[in-house]
Amino acid sequence: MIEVINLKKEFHIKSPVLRVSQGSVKAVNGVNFRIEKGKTLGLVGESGSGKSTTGRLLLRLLQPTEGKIILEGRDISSIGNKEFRHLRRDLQMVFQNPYSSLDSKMTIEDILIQPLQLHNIVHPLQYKEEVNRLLDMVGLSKKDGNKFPHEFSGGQRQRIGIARALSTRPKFVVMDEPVSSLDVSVQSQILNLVIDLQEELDLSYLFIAHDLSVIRHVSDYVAVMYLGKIVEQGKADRIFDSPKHPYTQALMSASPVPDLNKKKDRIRLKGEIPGALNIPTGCTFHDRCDFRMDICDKIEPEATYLYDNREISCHLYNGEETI
Amino acid sequence: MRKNKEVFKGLQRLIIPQIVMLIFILILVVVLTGIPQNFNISSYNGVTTSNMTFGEVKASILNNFKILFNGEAFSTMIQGETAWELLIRTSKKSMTILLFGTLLSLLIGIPKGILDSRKSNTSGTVKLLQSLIPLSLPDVFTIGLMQFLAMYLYTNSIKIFGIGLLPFMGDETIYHSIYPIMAISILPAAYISRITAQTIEEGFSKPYILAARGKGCSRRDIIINHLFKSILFNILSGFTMIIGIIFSSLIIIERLFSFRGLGFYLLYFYTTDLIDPYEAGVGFTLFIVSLAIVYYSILVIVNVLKDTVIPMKENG
Repeated sequence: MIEVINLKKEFHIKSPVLRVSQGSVKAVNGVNFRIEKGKTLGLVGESGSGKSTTGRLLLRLLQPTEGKIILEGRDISSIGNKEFRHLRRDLQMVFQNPYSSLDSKMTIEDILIQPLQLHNIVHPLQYKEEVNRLLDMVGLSKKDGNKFPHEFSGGQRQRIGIARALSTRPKFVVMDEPVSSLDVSVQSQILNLVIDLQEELDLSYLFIAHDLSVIRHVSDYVAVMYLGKIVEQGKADRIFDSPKHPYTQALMSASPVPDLNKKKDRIRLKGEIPGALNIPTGCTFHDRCDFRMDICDKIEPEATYLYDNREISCHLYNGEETI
Repeated sequence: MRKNKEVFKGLQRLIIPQIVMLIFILILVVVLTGIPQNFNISSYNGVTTSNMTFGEVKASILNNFKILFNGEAFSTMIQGETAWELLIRTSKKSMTILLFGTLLSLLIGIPKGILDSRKSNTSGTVKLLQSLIPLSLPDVFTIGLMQFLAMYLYTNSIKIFGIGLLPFMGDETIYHSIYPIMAISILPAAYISRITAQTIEEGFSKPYILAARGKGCSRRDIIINHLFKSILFNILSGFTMIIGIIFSSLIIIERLFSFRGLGFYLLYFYTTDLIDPYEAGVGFTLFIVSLAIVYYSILVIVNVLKDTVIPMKENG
């Protein structure tokens, strides 16, 4: 369905007055993954690891510096903006903040009609009917169409955001932390809605989140990001049951377990995630890793494929149990 | 019914302070213009003396109030016509410049701002300077340059806009008002273009604009459907400043282009020896009071719109 090959995004920092280059930030640094039709890839990592940037690159809301994005066999990373606008019909996004991602000056009906107009989804005479269908699909009433975004709660607004994303009848949706700004009680409703819609419409998702329980609930596959790179990816149950990469292990150990009898040995990481301006040499995780070896700060680990189709970038697994 | 009452109360709260302020300003204007033009205070050997007593100045100020209230000021003859007739004739001319100047500044400023907001590394600074230079120069200088251009085009018989040769001075025909309208629109257009460009630049960093791009909106779609209202609201918010620029430019423009409107006569009454000092004084008072009323009325309308319509629209 969609495949990403060596995707990179570099932001150049310039001095505000003289516009002289002061270096660059490698927000996404050679990411590879593949999402099959009807499946969900959960992208997880700390704040600043490049998850949202990856999502935005896929939808060309940011222009990739390098790499390929292949949608159904076609490289969409280098096509012109004008041509790409037509492709947006197939690629949509649900944003993190349902409060600021809806135009406060437009009614819900106008917000939902706009993509229908832009991509000629239905005949203009059917706009009203289609808006009602979309509202019904996300569990809102027909009357809500005439309201403005400020008249809704956070959960309802996110439902509108989902309806907006689905209005073009897309094949692939980037869910950029769609529940992180919602109450826990509302989170489950939205997650169930997202899963139901996926089954109903055979959608593919890139689900970005930093909440591991959310990722576990929705994902078929999981990719763990650290400083712009995917350090481990594979089937969700395998990653959650037996994380291999030291960073993934630390991340999983930080996730609470809803079982009082089950005790977890929490792995505490040293220090903070380094700034993207000063990415460490070799393995980017080496200065926080408990299993650090001499090679780690010198050579960047290559991706290794383990027996369970898991991809891992760590010197600990070089040449071991590969398929 | 209750809602209407609340709206009425709200309007009262907004308008009454403005009316009180206008009355205060008008009283001040009438007092100042009531002081005789030949009133003088001099100081010699540490002794300060004036050529008029306080009683004489007070009587002149009171007379100024009296002739305004009993209507005598309006029927005073100035160069063969009543002050009222002169006021109406000149007001029409000034209003033409003010109205069309404002419209032209909007017509130039908004598209210029839209173009300015489309920054590229090479032309961004140049575009910014195009708006900032007119704003940072004294308005007399900018208007003077406009007049030089008008003179140059006229003396070299260069026809513009397919209209023909445009006169650079006077007010006899409609063509005479073209240069003054263009001159009065330069500064507000620069200001409007800055507001527009800034609104668009700010808007493009907002999440709902990113969402609109994600939907497939082009830059044009985004500006028209999502940002145009914000642009108009921000221009309306800055309109008090724009009105100030326009009115202060009016007097200079009418004087430089010999366009006999309200502004021209204000200066004329103050400087001429061809009109009797009493008549000139009455004319000056009447014209400046009228200009203050017009200016303040526009200000009140803009402020009411700004304080009522904008918050209502922004909240849907």
